[in-house]
Amino acid sequence: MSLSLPALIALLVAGSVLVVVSDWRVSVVALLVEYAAAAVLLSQIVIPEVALAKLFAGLFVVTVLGITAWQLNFGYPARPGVAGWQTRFELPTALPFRLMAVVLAVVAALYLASQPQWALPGLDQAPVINAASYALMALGVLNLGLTEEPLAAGMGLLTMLLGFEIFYSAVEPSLAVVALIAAVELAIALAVSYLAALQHTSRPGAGGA
Amino acid sequence: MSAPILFVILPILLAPLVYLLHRSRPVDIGLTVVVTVVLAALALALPFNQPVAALGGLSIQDTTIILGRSFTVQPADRLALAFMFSQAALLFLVSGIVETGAALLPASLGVLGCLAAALFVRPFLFAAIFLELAAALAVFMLVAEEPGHTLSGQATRGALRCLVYTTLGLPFILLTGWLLEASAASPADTSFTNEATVALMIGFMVLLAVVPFHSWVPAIAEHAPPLAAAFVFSVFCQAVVFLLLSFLGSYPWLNQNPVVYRALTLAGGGMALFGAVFAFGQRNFGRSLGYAMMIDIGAVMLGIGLGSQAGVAAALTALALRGIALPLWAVGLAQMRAETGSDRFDDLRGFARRDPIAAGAIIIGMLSLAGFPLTAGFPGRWALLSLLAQIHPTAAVLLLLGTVVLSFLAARGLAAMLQTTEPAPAQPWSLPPISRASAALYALGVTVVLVLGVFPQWLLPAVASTASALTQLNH
Repeated sequence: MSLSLPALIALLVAGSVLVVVSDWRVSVVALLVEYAAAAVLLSQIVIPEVALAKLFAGLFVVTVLGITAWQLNFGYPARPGVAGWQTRFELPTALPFRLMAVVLAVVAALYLASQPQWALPGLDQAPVINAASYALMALGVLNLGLTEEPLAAGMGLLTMLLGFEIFYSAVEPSLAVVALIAAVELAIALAVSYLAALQHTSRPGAGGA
Repeated sequence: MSAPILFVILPILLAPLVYLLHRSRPVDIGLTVVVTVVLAALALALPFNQPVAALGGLSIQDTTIILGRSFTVQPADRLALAFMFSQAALLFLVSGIVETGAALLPASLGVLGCLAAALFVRPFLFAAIFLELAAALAVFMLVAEEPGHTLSGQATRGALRCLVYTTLGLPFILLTGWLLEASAASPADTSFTNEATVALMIGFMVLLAVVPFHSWVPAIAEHAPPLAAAFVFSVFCQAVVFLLLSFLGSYPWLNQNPVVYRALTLAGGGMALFGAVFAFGQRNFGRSLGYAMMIDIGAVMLGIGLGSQAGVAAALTALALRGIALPLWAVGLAQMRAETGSDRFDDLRGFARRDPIAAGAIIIGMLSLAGFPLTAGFPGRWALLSLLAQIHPTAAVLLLLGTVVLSFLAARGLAAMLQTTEPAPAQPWSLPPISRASAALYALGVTVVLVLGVFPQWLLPAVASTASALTQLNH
């Protein structure tokens, strides 16, 4: 059985979770799922080494963001005796609006992907990967439009870039480009981690794990 | 030994050392200035692909291959590189006047290395990746705390937006690469070149902060440390403009397409208009600079949009003179923030009497950015206005509007700084306790800005030769 469809579903769910849920514990896991699913999809169109390189780059990025989130108590104010990861999960404000926005973005992306004249170059014979690329770019841009919190916006940026990478790998599958884009992703992860740390520590009542 | 390694790796390797030395500022700044000045000189004078007697017969190659990609220093890159490194050296030099964050110099060196790589990499399209890396590094200096000015959420927002918009531009430029390959495979099909033109123009519009992708410019100008903001507005923006000119010079389908020049003119005119409109109501020196930058970026785009060597020369003159005015403005503003904790007009009553040097530096720097007569910014702005008046009179009027609004803003800022609080008696004029070296640097900056306003011919030949090397426009 082809893993393409489950990977696409995993990507859609993870990308949607990144927009809807603002809890960093969930977001880091969702980003990890995105990278893993993207690697599965990529393995269908590029040599396994390239897909593996993407997966490793993603793991590095998620590790950087995960450590940052951990150090910043997952964005929660420090409370004596309660570690950040133990804090009760809370649904974000404006949940219905975010859900609606996600549904609209995903439907629009999937509709565009289903139109033969809008198929991304190199992906016209791979409709699932084409849809994944469109959906990730749409969800990434949507996330960027809805938040200015550095870590969340960084994950949106990485999601958008991942969507572009899926498409770009089909037309430019060289290892050099993979390495350069991986460097870009790592640089973005480091930069947004730094910004998140600064913003968190400048907030009253901020604490670290 | 290869030249790309020298110009890319040396600044990047120097960055950690400079960070470690940040507690001994004279050594730190001296080392950074010397290295950047030497690299600027080498960019102009170092002979490539032949034995150099001064190096014991060692030959410096102009090309190196990394990960299958070629990095080549071409003649036009030499001038662009000298331009960027010398402007960075000027900013590093004046950073000695004020307290700066520890990240400024090392991050700037890293950014310089990435920008040099962006100029050298072939195909050009991969330059977008190095610009992105430079933007990620720039984040570290844009949010550094400085004395008297605590970090706000707005500061991180500006840096984040800069990173986001640079990233949004990346896919468009990379996509152009694939479209060009497709076009080479089927030359009869012009749809690929048309799509490549659109993708490339969108990518550069995003990178050049054209409205509506401009929000990071005023945010950074208002909240980032002034010297870091000045570095981004001068050196980083220069690299983007040089890349745009390299693209225009390299691809005939691009430089012979009148739509490209129309788009640049439209975007430039829009930037000048929006900058002027938004600047009009400002009562804050930092944010005013953001809108001054928008007008200046618009001026550069209008110059390139003329599609002639004279237009490019006028655009490069504006860029070069921006790099001379910005350090003066930046040190003045940093000093002001350190003394008063604010750069809002309402909080600065009497500041000009307490520190006329910093106040004067800000006003002269701002007037020069506006292109006010008798300042360094005037010759470039005047040359551009003269060219535009013949071809695009509306754009000339918009640019002139920008100059008038910014000059008015400088006058309003000066009036606020001269004002005293009503019940209190007027403060006597006094000079701040600054070192002789700082006073000399201020004096040098003011002199350069004013002298270049009167004798622009000292700078123009270098700009004209850069313009001629960078452009082979056949429009």
